[in-house]
Amino acid sequence: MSWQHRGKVAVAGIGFSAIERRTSRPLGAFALEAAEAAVQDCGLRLADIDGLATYPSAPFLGARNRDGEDIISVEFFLSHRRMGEISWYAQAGEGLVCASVRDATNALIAGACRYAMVWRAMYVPPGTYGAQKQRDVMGDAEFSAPYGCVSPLQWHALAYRRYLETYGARRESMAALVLSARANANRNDHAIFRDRPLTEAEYQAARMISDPLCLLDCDVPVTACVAMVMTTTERARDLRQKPALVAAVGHQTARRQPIVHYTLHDHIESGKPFADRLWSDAGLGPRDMSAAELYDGFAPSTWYWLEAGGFCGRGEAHAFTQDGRITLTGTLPVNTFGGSLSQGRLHGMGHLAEAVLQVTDRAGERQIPDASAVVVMDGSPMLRGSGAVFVRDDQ
Amino acid sequence: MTDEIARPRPRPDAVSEGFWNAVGQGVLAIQRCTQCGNYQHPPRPVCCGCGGGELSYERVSGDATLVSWTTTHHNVVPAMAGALPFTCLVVELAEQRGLYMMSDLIGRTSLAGALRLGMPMRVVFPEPEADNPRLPQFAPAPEAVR
Ligand SMILES: [Zn+2]
Repeated sequence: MSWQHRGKVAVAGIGFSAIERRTSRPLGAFALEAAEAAVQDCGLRLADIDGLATYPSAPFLGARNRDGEDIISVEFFLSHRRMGEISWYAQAGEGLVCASVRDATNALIAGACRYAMVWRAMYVPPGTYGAQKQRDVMGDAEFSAPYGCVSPLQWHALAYRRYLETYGARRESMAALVLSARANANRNDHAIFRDRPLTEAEYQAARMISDPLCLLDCDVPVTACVAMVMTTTERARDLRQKPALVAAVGHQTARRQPIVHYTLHDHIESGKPFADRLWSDAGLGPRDMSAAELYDGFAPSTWYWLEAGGFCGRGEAHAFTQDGRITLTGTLPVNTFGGSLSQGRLHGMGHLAEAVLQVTDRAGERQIPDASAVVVMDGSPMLRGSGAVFVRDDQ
Repeated sequence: MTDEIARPRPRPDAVSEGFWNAVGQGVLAIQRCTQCGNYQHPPRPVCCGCGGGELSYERVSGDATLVSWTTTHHNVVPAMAGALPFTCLVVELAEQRGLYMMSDLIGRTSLAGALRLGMPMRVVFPEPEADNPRLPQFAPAPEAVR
């Protein structure tokens, strides 16, 4: 039985800031740019927004966590004078920004607000992104940092090595996914690599970061903000754009032991129950998807989502992604906007925005004809990922 | 080269000091719930299985299997740059499924070529480099090395 609130809440508009690498403009300027673009897209004003939701965390070691500088929290917009009277807000601590879509959906169903703005702002710090500079470590880091293992890129490399060894896959096979993402970014004005093509030879020659992860398996850090406005489907139908209906939204909630890192022992065990619930709520399955926007902060995460989501079998994603199957004209277009790999590290917000644009026929030169349903899976199935299914409004 | 590195240093607290005290004596001890027998690492103030608050550090066999490894080229710990590229590994302790620990091959790089998924590993306590903390490390078990 599908979810009783299926299709009752919608995304009504999207706004992108500029997408830059290191920049002299403060992050707060990017956030306001995105927020204004999102309300304008709907034909609303900032004063109409009465709900706020974000996943604010700065994903690098040594963040100052100063609002407007390296994070944009709920507080930033609560205190902004052009905003309306805010009646509801939430800040997600897990699940990346798709968790905020869930928060806003629930708030709108409950009537806690009328127009909720969901955003994600990302900032590139000066120097190395994520270097461990402190000598003394406490808590869980006592058991990993002394070994030099401090970064998500190493944790992902550990999982990826296990995948390759377990399923007899080769890291060279990842080229298909990375090149397809880049080709899609070359058709996206909101992509940092809009004008930078990528060749197979460049991919295979890319330097190792933490093997088997090479540089081009890692997403590209950017400074940017993307915002979207959510409201009830009923209200959204009176606004400027066609609404993208939320058919399902949820979190990965598998039981697990405390861990110091992530390895691949459970990408199916922990991801599949979550994906199955999403499919059941949406009343749709993987084969009904016109496209899949699957998180690729590190490229292998997309392989894991393909398997956990039931698009292919366990250990098959490395083969499934070959032969053009996931390109714009393939049977399952994946990361049609370029992914985090080639649009930039927006922590899932780019994936969400693209799903909305696709089911509302607004994806321009990347549009999948008759896109009726698009799934977003954010984060990783091994972590507290989250996801949503968006469908076209047939009314 | 590797004697110049400064590894991040654990600052134990009431929850974790049992682990580090044992390491100081060359013993690998993992936090265990006296109520349900669940091992957990990293340690927690309560049992993540049953919620029990009576936890103790119990000596384990030191036997493990190799779960994964990665050789890091990127300078993620500037004070350890002298050891780059270095290999980190994850092992699963024999006592319980999903009970993982980390290790590395800094100063033992010749072992990297022998690594195979699932191979038996055993805890060792190498002499720490200069100013660095004593750490439990893992090496291929003698029976795994032909
Ligand atoms: Zn217990």
